[in-house]
Amino acid sequence: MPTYSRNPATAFVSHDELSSRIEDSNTFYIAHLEKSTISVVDGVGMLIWELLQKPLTEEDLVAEVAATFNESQETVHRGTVDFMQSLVDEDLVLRR
Amino acid sequence: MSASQRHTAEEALSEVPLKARILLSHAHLQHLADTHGIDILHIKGYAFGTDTYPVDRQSTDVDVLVRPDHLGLFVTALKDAGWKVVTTFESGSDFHHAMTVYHPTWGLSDIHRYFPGLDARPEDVFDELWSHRRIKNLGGYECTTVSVVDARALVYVHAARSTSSVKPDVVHLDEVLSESEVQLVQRRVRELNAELAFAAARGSLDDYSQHRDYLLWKSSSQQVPEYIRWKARLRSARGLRAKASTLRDIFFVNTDHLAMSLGREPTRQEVREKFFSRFSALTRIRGKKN
Repeated sequence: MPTYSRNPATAFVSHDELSSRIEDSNTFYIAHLEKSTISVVDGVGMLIWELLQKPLTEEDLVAEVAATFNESQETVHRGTVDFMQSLVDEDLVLRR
Repeated sequence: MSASQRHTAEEALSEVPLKARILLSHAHLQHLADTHGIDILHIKGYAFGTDTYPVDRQSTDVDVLVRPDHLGLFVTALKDAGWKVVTTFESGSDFHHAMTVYHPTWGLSDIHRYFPGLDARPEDVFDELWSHRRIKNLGGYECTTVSVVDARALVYVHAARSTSSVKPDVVHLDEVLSESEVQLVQRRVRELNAELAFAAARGSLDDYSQHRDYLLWKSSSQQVPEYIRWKARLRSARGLRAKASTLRDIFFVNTDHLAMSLGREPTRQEVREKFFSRFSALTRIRGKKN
């Protein structure tokens, strides 16, 4: 079972940090500090990025996403794994 | 899953708000410094919080002060990371204190080799600021910046280089700092040999009218005729070499600045016209005196 963790060469800003006004925003801007890219992550992606404050196994990640949205693990599994693959492809997340 | 994760190529960068880019640029520069064992201090802008600046103050670039011994290494690291030089230390300002660099992802950054107004060896000033440093989270990344008291002192000193009669950052600090907080700033200003610039920022520069740098800070903090500015720079330049260099700066055309004001590379004719415009200014000055 793979374990995922944030690449230490990343930084991120949530849209909420950009203004003193209270805004209902669901966007993260994640930078790869060595590749000099910025990716925009929203929706469930934000939750997953938050969860990755500490390394998580794929099993735990799927369970957390399912619990948060009150869905079955079977329902969220494919989408979660695909999303993790896109983060790994961008080198924003490390898989071990 | 509705999550979308879009890689930001240059055409998509417009999706990223400027403040997000600037905060992430702080993180990028700190990462670059950490990777190469370079000491930097993030100064001004978002590195200084609402304990120093007004709420909702906007910044458009990143400023860092680099340990002087590490400067060459940092500039090389910047270039290797894709940053382009916009203005050099020599062409950036009268004080020759900072170079401006640009990166298509991170935007503009000013790389300081010293901070004008802190009148001591740049190495000693950096050590002094570094010894009081703190860690601040910028873009979710631990960045090194100066202490809150030093930040406030630097805001005053920096404002001394604005010829605007209203200096909003100074007005804000004068309004919000308690008497004891002001005393802490003043003590730090003395420790950093920054009394002149501090006085210039607060409108009490005439207390130092006999100081050799009085005219320099008067011309930096107030609107004065250009020949006064030149005279001030010459008077404050330490040593023959510095005076010769200042003279060269006065008469030779700063093509980097000219390019920025034109929005394109100047033609040879435009450089020539700019060069001779200095002589016509001198002629007018002489004409007035006679």
